Amino acid sequence: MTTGYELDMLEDDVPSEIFSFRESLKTRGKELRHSISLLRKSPLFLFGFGTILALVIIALLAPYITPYGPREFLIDPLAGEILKQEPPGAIDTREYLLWTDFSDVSAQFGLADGLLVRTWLVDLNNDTKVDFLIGTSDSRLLFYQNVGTGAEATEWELNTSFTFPEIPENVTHVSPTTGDMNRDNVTDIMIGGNDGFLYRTINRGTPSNANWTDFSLVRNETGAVLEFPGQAHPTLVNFDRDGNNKTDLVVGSTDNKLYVYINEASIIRHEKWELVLLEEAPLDIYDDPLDFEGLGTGSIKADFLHINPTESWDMIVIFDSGHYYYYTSIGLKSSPSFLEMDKDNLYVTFTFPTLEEVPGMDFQWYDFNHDNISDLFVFYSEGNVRFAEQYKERDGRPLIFGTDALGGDIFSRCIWALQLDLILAIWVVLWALVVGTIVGSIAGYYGGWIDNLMMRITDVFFAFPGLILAMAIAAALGKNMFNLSIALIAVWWAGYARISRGQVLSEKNKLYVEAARAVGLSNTRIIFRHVLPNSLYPLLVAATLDLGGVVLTAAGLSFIGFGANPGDAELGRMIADGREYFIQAPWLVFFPGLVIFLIVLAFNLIGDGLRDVMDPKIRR
Amino acid sequence: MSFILSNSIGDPIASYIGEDQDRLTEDRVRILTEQLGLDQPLHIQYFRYLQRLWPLETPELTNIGTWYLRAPDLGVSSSFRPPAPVIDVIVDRFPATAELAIFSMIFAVVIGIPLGIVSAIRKDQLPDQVSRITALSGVSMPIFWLGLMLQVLIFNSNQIFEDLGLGFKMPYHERYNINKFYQKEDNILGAVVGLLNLLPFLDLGPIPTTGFYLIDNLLYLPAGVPPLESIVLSLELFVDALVHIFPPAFCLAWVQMALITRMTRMAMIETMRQDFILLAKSKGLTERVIIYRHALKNAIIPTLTIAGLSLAGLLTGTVLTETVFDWPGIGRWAVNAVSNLDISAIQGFVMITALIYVLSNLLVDILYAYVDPRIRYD
Repeated sequence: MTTGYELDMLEDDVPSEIFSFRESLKTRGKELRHSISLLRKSPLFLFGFGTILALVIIALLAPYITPYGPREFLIDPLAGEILKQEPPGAIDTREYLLWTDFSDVSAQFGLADGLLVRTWLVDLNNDTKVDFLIGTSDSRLLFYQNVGTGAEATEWELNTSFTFPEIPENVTHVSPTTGDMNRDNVTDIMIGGNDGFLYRTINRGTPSNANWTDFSLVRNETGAVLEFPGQAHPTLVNFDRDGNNKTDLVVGSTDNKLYVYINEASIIRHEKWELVLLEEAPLDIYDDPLDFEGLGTGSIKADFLHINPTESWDMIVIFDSGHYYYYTSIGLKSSPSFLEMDKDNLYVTFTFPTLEEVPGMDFQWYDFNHDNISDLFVFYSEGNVRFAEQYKERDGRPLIFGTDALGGDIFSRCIWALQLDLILAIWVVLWALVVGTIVGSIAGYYGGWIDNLMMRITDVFFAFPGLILAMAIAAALGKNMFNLSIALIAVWWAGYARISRGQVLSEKNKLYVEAARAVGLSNTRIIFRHVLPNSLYPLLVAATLDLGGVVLTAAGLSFIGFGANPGDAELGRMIADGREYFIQAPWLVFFPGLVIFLIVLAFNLIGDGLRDVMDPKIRR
Repeated sequence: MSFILSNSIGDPIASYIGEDQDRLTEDRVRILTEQLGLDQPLHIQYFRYLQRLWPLETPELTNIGTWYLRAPDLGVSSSFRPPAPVIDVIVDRFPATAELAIFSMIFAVVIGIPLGIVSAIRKDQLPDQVSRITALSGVSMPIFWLGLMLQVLIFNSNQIFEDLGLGFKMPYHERYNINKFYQKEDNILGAVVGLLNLLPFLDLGPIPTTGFYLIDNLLYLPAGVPPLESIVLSLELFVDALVHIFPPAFCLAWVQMALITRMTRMAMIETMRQDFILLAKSKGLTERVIIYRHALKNAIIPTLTIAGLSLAGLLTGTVLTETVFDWPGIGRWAVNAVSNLDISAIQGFVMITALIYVLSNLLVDILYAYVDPRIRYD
């Protein structure tokens, strides 16, 4: 079996015309050099070429030059799916939340080494300033009263006059939590002990004049005492999992589990504290219970609060070993499903300060200074207490194109959209070229009924205006970017099929094809190895020039509502999204449109220049 | 083609029943399926589809000789509540699109051809470069963007039209709410018909409006107003309509103008190099005569092609322009239909566009033969 390349050995004996590639490259090269020298003199072509070059470079460098890029917002750890993703350039506010350095406030507390078991934040004396209730490892509850002045007070002092009932005698490590268990609007206390039992005391007096009952064991609805394998850390929670408006209980212990008890007390017998263990999916991701196995050692302290800027509940889990984890909830406020958050990288506007993971530590998030941003107290077991405030800072990065209705930076969005649209255009033209060339060259090479059939199919596609055909196809396939690209390919391939057919028709009677046939090459090989490479040049030129048209049509279709979803960074979609407000805020529409205009104009300038150079009639 | 498309679009039953889920009973689905013929095999569905489209019909088998024309049955557009027959919607809305397209085409030709001639004569000089940039920017312009920007300019910043005292008498969305029929006493045609109807043997009935807003407004002569005032009023309305058609027509026209200018320029440059121009010059004819009587006639042929082919662009453009300007034509209806999965409407729209497109190409061919006798004798 001979191949086309063995012809090389016969070089001296046969006319050089049969060597399709080299000869055509030689002549084409000459033509090309001449064309380029002419193009260099055309300022409009150079402008178009430069613009395209600049736009492509900008699109390639998008991650580095845009202030705000696409970022994963929330990831489902089980499925690995992105639950929320910020559209490129979308950012809720110009203000970033930053942290001050930690300041040492150990002196205010004066805790001895190893004394700390758990801290709890509560306004126990009802003076509208938040106090610390600290359980120690020597059977004590310490009440640190907020003695600062004004609403933003952050000064604490141990209040020894505030007495608590006697701690049960076999409890050395006290883990306090507070809540209104009998619903008389006075805060009560529950403690967890190192013996695995929970005790509670009810304040029968007033907040300022407390009258505590003795600590009694906490029992469930059947009257059985709640018992845990080791140190128990109770947390009275307000998120009210069963939605009955009564405080529920979450207990963490040393067995890597969080037990959720819901309060089933009736309204009439509200004095009675009836706890029912929620065995089914206590704190879950969807229906799977949270598993803390292997995340840390020792008992678990859990706390429930709002630390991120959203409305959803967050959970902090701290192990005795110092490992801590943040969880955030999705779903309803009353029945949250918790997912682990990435401590380092979650929100654009919000970061967690990194904490040393020291065994026995505890920390409290709270908006101490009432500026609507959570601040942070960290207690280390050796008695160090540190405090850091979170504060807002305006983003100094320029917003040269303004912001959109959702606060997104239009400049960033334009660049991301530019990238998307260019990729889309290249993808569409590439596939249209592949399909069109194959169809066209087969039709041209074989001729006869194959040619007839294929060209009639092509004619059908030519019977419709492009955008309308694309619209119909995209509507049939469904509205997303991929289907939009399919529709555009379906519109564009027919043109390439015609061009390549014409090219193949003019090439197929040349000597080198006959030579290849004489050698006995298969038709497929002749078409794809000999004829096609020789007819590719005008096709490639046409394809390059079509890129602008594809961008324009894609943007038009996106504007009508195909392709990109609302809020996506796509040029046509951005204009459609901005349409609602464009009279008040014309920049919403102006800049994305300008980018489309620039892309298409640049391609058209290149095309115009090329046409002038290629067309000998005008060149003269 | 439109059959294939229509068959692959979503669930037709769902679009018929709409959002009213209570109506989605088993029985209803079955009845609708039968009514729409969706339970039949595909080729039978296709055959029925053709049968419905075919405008020739024989009412009875015994009377095969009497074929008569009827309007093609394009189905029912379900994006209207209550659903309206597609053919009625098209007849209703097409004049608006046609008016826009024709107006902008005139606009494009009237500006484009002279611009092309000028830039051909002054090749590579200032007029040429200006026209080149105008044309290129026209081709590269996203129509919907241009439309929105025009709206900002006109409606927002300077209130140009108000300052000129033209004002806005009718907002766009009210344009086509005028009567479908002329009142006899309200317009010239109506008056004529009224007179004719006095003849005992003639009853022309009510005269339908043309649907072309410019024409309708010109013909509108309200009753009960002194003749002179009514003429002034109708002129005022005409000017108002003109003002309203200007921005969308300008949007549409710019792209077409660009194409026509470039084509005229190229054709003119080529023609001016022909021998017969040299002959004309040597005969001592003035440049004016050479350009307009000799060169233009030859150069107009490729321009005609482009003008014919640009009808595709025009149709495409109307979809976007009508969406932007809320123009009550078929383009906006089609966009609406697509978002509502209104199959019959999409089918009808795609078919009517293809029909116009093919017909316009045919027309261009015929015009060719008229303009260039060489083609006729081939």
